[in-house]
Order: sequence, then structure tokens, then C-alpha cells
Amino acid sequence: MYKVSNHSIAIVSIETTNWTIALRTDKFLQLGQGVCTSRALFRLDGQAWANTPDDLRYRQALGSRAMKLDATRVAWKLAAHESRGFSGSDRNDSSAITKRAGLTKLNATNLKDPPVKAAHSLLRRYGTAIVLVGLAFALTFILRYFFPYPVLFLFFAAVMVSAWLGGTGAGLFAVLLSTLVTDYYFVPPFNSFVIDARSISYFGAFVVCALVASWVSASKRKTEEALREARDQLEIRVAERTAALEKSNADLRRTMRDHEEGQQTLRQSQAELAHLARALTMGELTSSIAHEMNQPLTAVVSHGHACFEWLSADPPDIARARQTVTSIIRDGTRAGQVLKRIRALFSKQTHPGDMVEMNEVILELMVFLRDEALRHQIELSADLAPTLAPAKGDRIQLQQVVLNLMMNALDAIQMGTGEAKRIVVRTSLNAAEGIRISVEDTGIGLSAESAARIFDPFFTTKPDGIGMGLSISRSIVESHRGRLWADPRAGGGSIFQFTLPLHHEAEK
Amino acid sequence: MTEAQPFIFVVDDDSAVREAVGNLLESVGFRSQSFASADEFLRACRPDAPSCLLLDIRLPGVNGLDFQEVLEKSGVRIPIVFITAHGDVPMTTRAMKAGAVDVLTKPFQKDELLTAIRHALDLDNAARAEEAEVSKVRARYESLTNREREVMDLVVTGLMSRQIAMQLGITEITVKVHRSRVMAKMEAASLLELVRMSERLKPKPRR
Repeated sequence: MYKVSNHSIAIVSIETTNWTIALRTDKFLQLGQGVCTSRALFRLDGQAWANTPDDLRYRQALGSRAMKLDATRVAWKLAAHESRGFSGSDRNDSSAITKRAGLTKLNATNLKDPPVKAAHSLLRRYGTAIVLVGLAFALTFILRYFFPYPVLFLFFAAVMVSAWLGGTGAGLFAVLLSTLVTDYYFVPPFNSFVIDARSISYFGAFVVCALVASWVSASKRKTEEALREARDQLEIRVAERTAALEKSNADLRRTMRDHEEGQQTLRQSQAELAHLARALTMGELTSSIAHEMNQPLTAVVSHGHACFEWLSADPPDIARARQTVTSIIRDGTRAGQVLKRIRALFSKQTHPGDMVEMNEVILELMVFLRDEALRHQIELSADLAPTLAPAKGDRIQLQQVVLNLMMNALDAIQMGTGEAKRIVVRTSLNAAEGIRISVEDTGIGLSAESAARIFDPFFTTKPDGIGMGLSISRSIVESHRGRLWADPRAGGGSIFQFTLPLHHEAEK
Repeated sequence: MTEAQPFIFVVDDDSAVREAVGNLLESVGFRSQSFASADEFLRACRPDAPSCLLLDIRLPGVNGLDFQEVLEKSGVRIPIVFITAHGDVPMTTRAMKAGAVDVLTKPFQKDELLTAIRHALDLDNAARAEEAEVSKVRARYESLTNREREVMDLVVTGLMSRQIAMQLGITEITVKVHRSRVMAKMEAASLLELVRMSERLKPKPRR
């Protein structure tokens, strides 16, 4: 029905859920993959190859009808093996499946024709031999009038072509026919099967030559077919390997994607945790925050009353009133900025690519913590490098790290019994490690046991701590490619410090 | 003694608050001076005028409440009005027990502030008047001879001249002479007045 040129199709693998077939044509080697359901078999009908880039070229080369035929065959066989039913264990063993389904490596020869077509093929092969010998006979018959001796080499040609096209059987058939025809028409006495004594050697030589020609042609054909088959097998194996590689590639990609997704989820929950911890810390700082808000508000209210007085005076002191209003604006603006800083600390948003001036971050926090420190009569000071390069990262997260360290220092001092109550925040810059920020306190210090576990989640030395601060801080610092560690301070207390790579290094 | 113009001292570490409170006080006609810390206030020389101290509780270095004690111990008597951003009850109790005039919570209203300041100034005026009186009496007391002081100290305990004479080992006549000189020098019109003066000379118990 359809004209199919030389194809070989092989089942490369059939697994629990997927099948892969390889299809080789004169020009292409194509892999098809699909899902083992009856719908997928339907999809084989031209669709299964749709996701390979060569699909279009393939279809253009062969015509979709040809492909449809191949696909239909494969589909038919797959359907057959599916309908027989497979146990679960078979499904993973492609050789068992192909064996039970009668689907061992299909290639050009055993896929070429269904049984009905085989008969047609036989007829065609022998018919070709008859026609060729007939043709040789006709030509030789005509040539007899031009040459004194019969020219028999055309029969050799007919035999060779028949053997080439139809194989050994057709070749021998052609030899038989040629022998009969030659004996009858061209060997004296003519028009009789009798051979006279003088012609026996001549006739014998003809028959031998015909047999040899047939044998040479047929065996050459066989060799070619064997070569071709070997090539097919090789290509199928290559296809199998390619399919296996592609599958493991896909697996790898899936694993990587899963990993990536896992990382994403982890980052997200870390960010949420950090936000929560930030909110908790800010909760501890409410009285300081209130104080920080109250100062400018107090100034605004007092200035407001004063302004009222200046205007109510007789005569009104406009100059002083104006000056007072200027102060009101200044202090009101300051209150707004305090609020903005607080909101920033509470913010859930992150901006990982910012350029962060760590000195600024520290000074901003000092404002919030100053009141807290005053309340416990702790001296809070900063010793900042005058020219500190900006760090690249998330300002809020980095601020959170410094805040955590400073809050810890405050707590450590309150837990301690030392006379000196001092916290010093330092920044420094050096080429080897970049920016270093250290928070030094004269507090209770770290025991050996605490020092080993202090960065573990849920480890805390505070009576009401949750043990997340340092763990979060360390993960923040590490995500900025820095390092966070703790050392004991000479003379009591501890030093917590972290490094951040310089901006140009962070980009590497 | 002339009634000097009152003077208000403000100690707050926040410059904006200092400036604003100073402005408010100036607008209602008070003279004022601001300091960023308790130390600065101690080092400054203060005018001889009725005055009061507006003191922030939370201060760098010595905090307001501790500073109140320091002042008390060093004998600087100035009425204190505390101002605080978050006055809690224990803090307020401590301040009031130690003799603070008032504790104002920031942000405070003009009337609250002025009421507290006027109250403080009244107290300071009274204290200053009292102090002036005491120093006058002390000057008179200083002018007495040793024997006259002995006689006076015994007189105010209610002893009769004869009993005093026996205790000091002098004649009753001599006691009477000393006694009339004491009354004259101390400008006391009656024995009762002399007793009051002697009470004033005693060191004051802590409040």
C-alpha cells in the first residue's frame, strides 16, 4: 500500500512508563520516545517524533505517509504486546518484553514485509528472472542473424542481474531457464533439447559459467546485505547508547532542578526566619525605639508651644516664630527618618545586590541601641575605619547580623559581673580578607562548651533566648561569602567578628 | 535680699530637645541654660537666683536618678523636675522619694512643664528664704563668745539660770548677764524665738 524505502526500526527500550524506538532511514537515524499508554501509541502516528529537531527534515525527506506506515507498524506491535499483558517485573526488562512480544531487534529484513507480502515478493523475484531471461533470449535470437555463432553472454547478464535482485534462488532459476532456452534454440541441433557430441563441451562451459555468475552475484549481494545489517546493528547500538545517555542526562537535569528548587525553598524559609528573628529582636528594642521616636516628638511639641507663645506676644515676634518653625520641620523630618529606619529593619524585602556602607549601618544601629545601653549603664562606642569600601549585599540582612552581635554583647554584659561594661564595634579593611566588623564586649564570655555550639540552631545561653540569632547571622554572612566567628577577649568577655569580601572580589 | 530673675537649667543629651525646651522657656520669659550631661552642669557656675533643674533620667555617664543623689550628697539643693521618654513606676517612685518636684513624660505639654517649674521655683524661693534666714542667725551665733554659746545652748533646753550656773560652775548673776547678751546679740525678742533660732542652726535631717 505504502512505498517504504529501506528502514529499520528497533525497540531500544521499553520501561515502566516510557518507550524509546530507533528508526533508521537512508539519511537519518532518529530516536522516538513516548509514554506507554494506549494514547501514546496513538501519538506514535507522526507525533512521537515531534519533539526532536530533525522531525521536520525527516518528514520532508520521506513524506509523512511513509512515516505513518512505520509508526503504525510499531504501534501495532506495541499494542499487541500490551494486550498480552505483562507482569510488573517484566516491564523493566526490555529484552523480556521484546521477546514475549516477538519484537526482538527489528531490522530491514524482518520488518520489510508482513507474511502476505512475502508471497508477492517471491513471485516478483522469480518473475524478474523469467523476464530477464526472456529479454536475453529475444536479443540473442535477433543477434543470431548478424553473427555466425550464437552470442550467449547476454544470458550471463540476465543470470547475474536476477541473482543480484532476487538472491541465490532467483539466480539458479535464471540459470535453469537460460540452460533450457540455450539448449533448445542455440545449441545444434537447433529447436531440440538434444545436444550433439561436438557441442557438449561448449554447452557444458556455458552452464558452468552461468552457475558461477549466479553464485558470484548472489554471494556479492549477500555480503552487501550482511555489511548493511552490521551497520544497522551498530547504529542501533549507538542509538541505544544515545537514548541511555539522554535519559541519564534528563535524570541529571531533573535532579539539578530538584536541587535548585530545594535551594530556593531553603533560601525562602531562611529569609522568613531571618525576618522573624529581626522582628523578635526589634520587639526587645521597643523601649529604645520609643525613646528614639519620642526625642524628636518632644522637640516638635515644645517648639510648637514656643511658636504659639512667640506669635501671641505683643508685638508678635515673627523672627523667632519663623526660626522655631524651621526647627519644627527639622525635628519632624528626623522623626520620619527614625520611623523609616525602623520600617527598614522590619522589612521583609531583600535587596541582595546593594552597595552597603557598613559604617553607616553600624552608626544607624548605635542610635537604636544607645538608649538600651544607657539603661543598663553600658558604654557603647564605635571605632570605625575612616575609609571603608562598600560591601555588596543585602543591607537589611547585614544590619541584622550587626544588630544580633550587639544585642548579644548587651546581654552578655548584663549576665556578667564585670566592673567594666563596655561594647566596642570596630571596622577595618585589609586586602587579604576584605572588610572586617568586630563587636567586642566585656561580658560573661564563652565557655568551651558554648564556644563549640554557639552557632548551632536552637543553642542559647540566654534564659529567654531562642538560639536562632547566631545561626541566622552565620548563614547570612556565609551567603555573602564571608566568615563569622567568635574569640575570647583578653581580660574577659568575647569578640565576635565577621568578614565580607570587597565588592570586586564578591563578583568573582 | 533682692528677688533675682529665676533661672532654669536643662540637662538632656539630645540637642534637639535641649534647643526646643530652651526655646519654649524663653518664649514664656524664663532664662535658661542647657547642658548635655550631668558633669557639664556640675562644672558650670550657676547664678545666685531662684532656679530649678530639668533633668533627663536617661543620660550618658551618670544617669539622672544617680545624679540626684550626687547633688543631695554634695549639698547642692536645687529642685529637680525629671523629664523622661518612658517613665515607669519604680523610676518615678524613686525620683519622688528622693525629693523630685515632678516627673514629666516626654513629650510634655507647656502647661505641665510650667506648672512643675513654677512649683519648683516656689520651693526654691522658700528654701532660699529659709537659707538666708539661717545664715543670718548663724552669723549672729558666730558673733557670740564661747561662754555665751554655752549659756545659750543650755538656755534653749529649758534650764533655769540657777541650774545653768551650777552646771557651768559660775555664779547665777554671771549667767544672767551672759543670757541677756545672748538675747541682744541674737536679736531674740523672747525665749521662744531663741529656741526657734537654735532649731534652725541644727543640721537638717535628710528628707
